[in-house]
Amino acid sequence: MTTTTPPEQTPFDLPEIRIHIGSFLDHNDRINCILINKAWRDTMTSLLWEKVTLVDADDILQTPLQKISVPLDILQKNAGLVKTLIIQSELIDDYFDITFPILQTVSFWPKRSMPYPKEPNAEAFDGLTNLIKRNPTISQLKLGMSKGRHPAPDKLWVAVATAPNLQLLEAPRMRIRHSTMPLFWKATENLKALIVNFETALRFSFTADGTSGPFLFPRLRRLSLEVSQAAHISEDDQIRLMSMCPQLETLDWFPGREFSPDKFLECCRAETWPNLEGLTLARMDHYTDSDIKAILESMRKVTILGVSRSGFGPRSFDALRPHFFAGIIELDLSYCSAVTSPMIVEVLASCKKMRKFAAGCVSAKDLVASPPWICGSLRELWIYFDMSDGDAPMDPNVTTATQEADLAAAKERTQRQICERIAGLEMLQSFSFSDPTREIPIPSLDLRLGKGLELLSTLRELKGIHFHGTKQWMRTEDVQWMLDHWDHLHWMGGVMDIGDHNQNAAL
Amino acid sequence: MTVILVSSDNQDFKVDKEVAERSILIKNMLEDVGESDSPIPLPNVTAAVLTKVIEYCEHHRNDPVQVPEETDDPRKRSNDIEEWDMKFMQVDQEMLFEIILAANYLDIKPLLDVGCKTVANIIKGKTPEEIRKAFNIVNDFTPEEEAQIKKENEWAEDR
Repeated sequence: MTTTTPPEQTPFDLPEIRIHIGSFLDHNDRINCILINKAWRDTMTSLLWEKVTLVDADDILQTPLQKISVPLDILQKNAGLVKTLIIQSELIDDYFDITFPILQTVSFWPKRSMPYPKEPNAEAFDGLTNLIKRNPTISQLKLGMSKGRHPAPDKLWVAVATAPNLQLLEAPRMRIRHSTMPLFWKATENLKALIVNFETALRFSFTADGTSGPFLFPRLRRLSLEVSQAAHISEDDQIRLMSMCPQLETLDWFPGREFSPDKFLECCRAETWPNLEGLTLARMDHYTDSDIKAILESMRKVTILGVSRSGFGPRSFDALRPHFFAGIIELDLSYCSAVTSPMIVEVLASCKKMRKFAAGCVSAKDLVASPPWICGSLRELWIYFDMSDGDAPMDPNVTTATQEADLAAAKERTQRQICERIAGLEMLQSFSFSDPTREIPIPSLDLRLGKGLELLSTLRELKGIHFHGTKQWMRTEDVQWMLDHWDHLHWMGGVMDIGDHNQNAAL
Repeated sequence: MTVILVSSDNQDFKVDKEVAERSILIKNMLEDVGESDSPIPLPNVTAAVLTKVIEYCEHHRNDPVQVPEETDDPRKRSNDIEEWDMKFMQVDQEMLFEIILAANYLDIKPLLDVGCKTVANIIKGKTPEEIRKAFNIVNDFTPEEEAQIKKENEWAEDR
């Protein structure tokens, strides 16, 4: 308006607004903003350096924008801004000498570009140990070491044990020497979250005098315990480990082989985990509907439930129902043959906070007749459709042309109604209607242009779509539409029309 | 139930409580004040801006409350502004700035997001000088400082 009034506050004067604007900018724009003025320089620089990924310099040309190999002196200069450090390179010994005053998360995943990755050598572990010792602020440590024959050296576990602020340890593919186990337990006893996959063929045992551990895990809230078959850790030991975590809120248990549900059920009935809200179990073939019902009844609150390939059925469903509104967020009922179409429909219409839902076959008739879906926050959905239910039985000798036309029109309507419902899931990132069970596909959802695909332009967050095992064949124009409307589409699985080989390659 | 909001230039605005409570600041004030009918003064917001803010809150009165994202990658998108919001934001730059400041002060996160995304979209693809020109920002670097920063960030640029 006037140019003579003294400059009033602009939004750019407030650091929180600069940060907010910066959060919507990509890397290059942030670099440009650094040069605007001093205030912008300070804000953008701290945004730029919050998360640093270190890769081998050779990889630069192949990797996307985020992964930048950083010169040592520049990293040292900005070390005070780094909160997350992702290490994917093995060639950076000097980098482990840097101190990062506000470092919180370290992800150590040394990759090698060779076809047969060797295990990290001793130097890499030395470097990591050094990094942990130098940076007491680390609260999350994620070790993604590739499969190797050599376990991590003891001094790594000593460093982990003495890390004063460590709360989360993610250590898949753990090979731990028998003699090192006490150190490992010492290193993990004060954690809040432990994600571990035992591959070692050695046992761990609980001695009476408690010297070899593990002891109680007084603070552990989240445990993900995966045991490979080769590890030969007895069921008793696994159960005992889990039952030493009384504060557990989330438990994932992937035992190496099937056990009978009895011992686990005993723990549930004994209220071993009074705060348990999230439970994911694998190898559930022997768990009956009643077993799962018993488990659910022992949980005060259910936010995550993963019981794939189990006997989950009507009794379990009844036990689960009270938790629908209260806040179930993830539900995996895939490959559970006793899950019915009405159950699936009820979940979609009742679970407001659901983010991930996998189940089985749902009939079109049930879908169309159900109350509106309220699961608007859904991010991942895997169900498959049986469209054939809508048909009234017709005597082929008696059908007239108009009757057939009516039938076709009704089918189209049903199609569109279902697509409209799916279109309401605006936050959907992953959608699969693959049918894993049938060799001869049943009539499934026809998701092509003209049949309902065009209604799905609202799914702007969609990253992946799968339709294996259905009768669905995508044509070029369908795929093209998908690419035009779904900016984030990364993967697609299913059958495409035969004539499209060239287009397939292009896509 | 309605509430009365008073702008800095003393204009009264009668608004449904549900609409006013899209502003967390106002929501908290109302909770503190209880059943009282007294008007709520907003000394930092002029009538012109408050009109716009109320318009936004009215249109979005039924939106679900946003849940904070828990993804690992905090990078957000700015290309998903819905059509009504885009038209709403087609104002002169001064008003744009005022709306952002008001949304910040009144704690209306969705409106703040839209405002910041709009600014981010203006910034995208521009050089530093172009950004300064677009927003009338003064460059307070010396030429030496500028050269130094450019040099330091050379490695970071995408080739």
